[in-house]
Amino acid sequence: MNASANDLLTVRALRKTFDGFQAIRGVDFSIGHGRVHAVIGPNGAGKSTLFNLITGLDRPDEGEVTFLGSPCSHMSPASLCRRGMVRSFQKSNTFLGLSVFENIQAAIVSRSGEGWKIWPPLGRRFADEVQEIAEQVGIADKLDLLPEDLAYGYQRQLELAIALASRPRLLLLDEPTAGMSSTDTHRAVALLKRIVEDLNIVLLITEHDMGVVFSLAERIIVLAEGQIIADGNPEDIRANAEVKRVYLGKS
Amino acid sequence: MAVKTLDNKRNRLLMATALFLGLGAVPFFAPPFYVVFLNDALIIACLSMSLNLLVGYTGLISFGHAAYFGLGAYACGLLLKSAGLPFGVSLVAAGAFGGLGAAVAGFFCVRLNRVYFSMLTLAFSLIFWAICFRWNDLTGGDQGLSGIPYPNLTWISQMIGRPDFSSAQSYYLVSLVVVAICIAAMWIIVSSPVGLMLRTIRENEQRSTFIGVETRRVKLAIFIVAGTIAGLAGGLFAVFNRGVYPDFMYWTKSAEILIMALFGGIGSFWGPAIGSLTLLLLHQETVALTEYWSFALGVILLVLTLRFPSGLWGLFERFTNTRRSK
Repeated sequence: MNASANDLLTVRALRKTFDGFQAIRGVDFSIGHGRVHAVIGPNGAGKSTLFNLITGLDRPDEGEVTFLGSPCSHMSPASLCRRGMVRSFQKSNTFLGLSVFENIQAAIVSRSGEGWKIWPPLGRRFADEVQEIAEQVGIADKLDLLPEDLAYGYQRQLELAIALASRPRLLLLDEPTAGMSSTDTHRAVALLKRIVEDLNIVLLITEHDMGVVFSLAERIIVLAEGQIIADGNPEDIRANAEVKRVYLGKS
Repeated sequence: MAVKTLDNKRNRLLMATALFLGLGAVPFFAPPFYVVFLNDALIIACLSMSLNLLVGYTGLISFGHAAYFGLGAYACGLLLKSAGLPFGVSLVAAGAFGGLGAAVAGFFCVRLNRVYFSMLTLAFSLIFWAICFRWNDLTGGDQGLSGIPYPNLTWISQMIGRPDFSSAQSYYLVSLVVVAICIAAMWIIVSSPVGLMLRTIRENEQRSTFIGVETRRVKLAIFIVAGTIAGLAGGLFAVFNRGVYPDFMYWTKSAEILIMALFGGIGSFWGPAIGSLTLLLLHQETVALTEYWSFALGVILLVLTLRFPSGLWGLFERFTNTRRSK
């Protein structure tokens, strides 16, 4: 699959070594069309490392990441976010001391370029947009609570709300259903499907739960020991013998 | 909801105005002794509130805040005494020097987190202190800088129709206005979009970068603002006390301000002011028993940390049962 200029994201010959351990050993792929892409692989395959390299949390030793046509391996997470690459985290990662409302409001303020304004006072500004996003993810009745008062599933939904408030073009979700009950998982999958359709966002997810992966993703990239061993649509991946051996066979 | 918010805002503004007018009335009826005490208390309250911008709002625990207070004090004192500049200019310069010092130190400090940030602020404060302590020709070294000329403030006493006002009484009014302006500026900052960005950094700096906040720049900016206000406070303090001494910027002074802020409660805007006022009163009362002051401070800190981590303001809120807000 050759990279083309109008690809959203291109990852080329990416390598990363931690203390002699080769976490990522030459990864190439690009995201051009299609809505939901998934990266799967056994524990330690390098999924989270790959996410961290793409989103600017870590710097690659070699190779390059290109987002919307410009190389971005040197960019900070903050400037990537402003360009439309937004991520969530594996563990629930919100602003614990701020209300749900403020969590979402903060992301809107930052995105809209008002983060440096000292006048006028903020108050409940952007309340309509906060409300709209909260409704999209189903936490509209919880705006005055603190994140710690939310059930785990709702905390993850809040995280999604924060991500959406940044108006992503590409949204990377690291294990969006990790730790959820099966009810919460079903709800989260339905929610993600709806959001992708409604908001015209491209999703790149990592996920352990194969049920989630096969019901969401149009394309699956299989990572093992830091390398891509298969890349294709769900049917191909299901039929792929090597994938079965290293991954599906084990579970 | 909107109406309630508006009411709250109006109430707060009314209370702040009442406080300002009440404090402004003090020299008209209170004995000079209280005016002198209150003048220092106002300045120190402003200083610990500026520290709270860092500690309470941004989660940056600075152990070296007195350095910027001291830089402002020396700058103001020297410009008045050696350069013979007018008081107003010297005071503005005090703020500028505090801010400049904070910009230099902050440039490095904001690159580090948690205890490493704190240690670096401490290191810079020791360096600034050592420079002022050793530069005998300029600062008077360990003898300090004394004999700072007092500004002529008769225009104030004439303006308010009280020609009998002493210079200290007039100066108190200057302090009050400058401190009020600083506090208003801090209130505007913490209520603004920037204020919310500060709190995202406090709560989760990494997440903050992933909503697009350039956290280092924001931290540096607030560090400079806090340093500027500390510098202004230092300038006011130096002139009123007619001297600047290296103690002003020693690390124990930084610790004292931090304790005041914690004592009052860093979870609120006014907490640090309450904390400094209470501790200064306590100090005033035990001044004859100087050797017990450190002991008292230690006990207060102990009880505070173990029993009331949200400080005096937290206690106050628990009793009045008002909603927690910032």
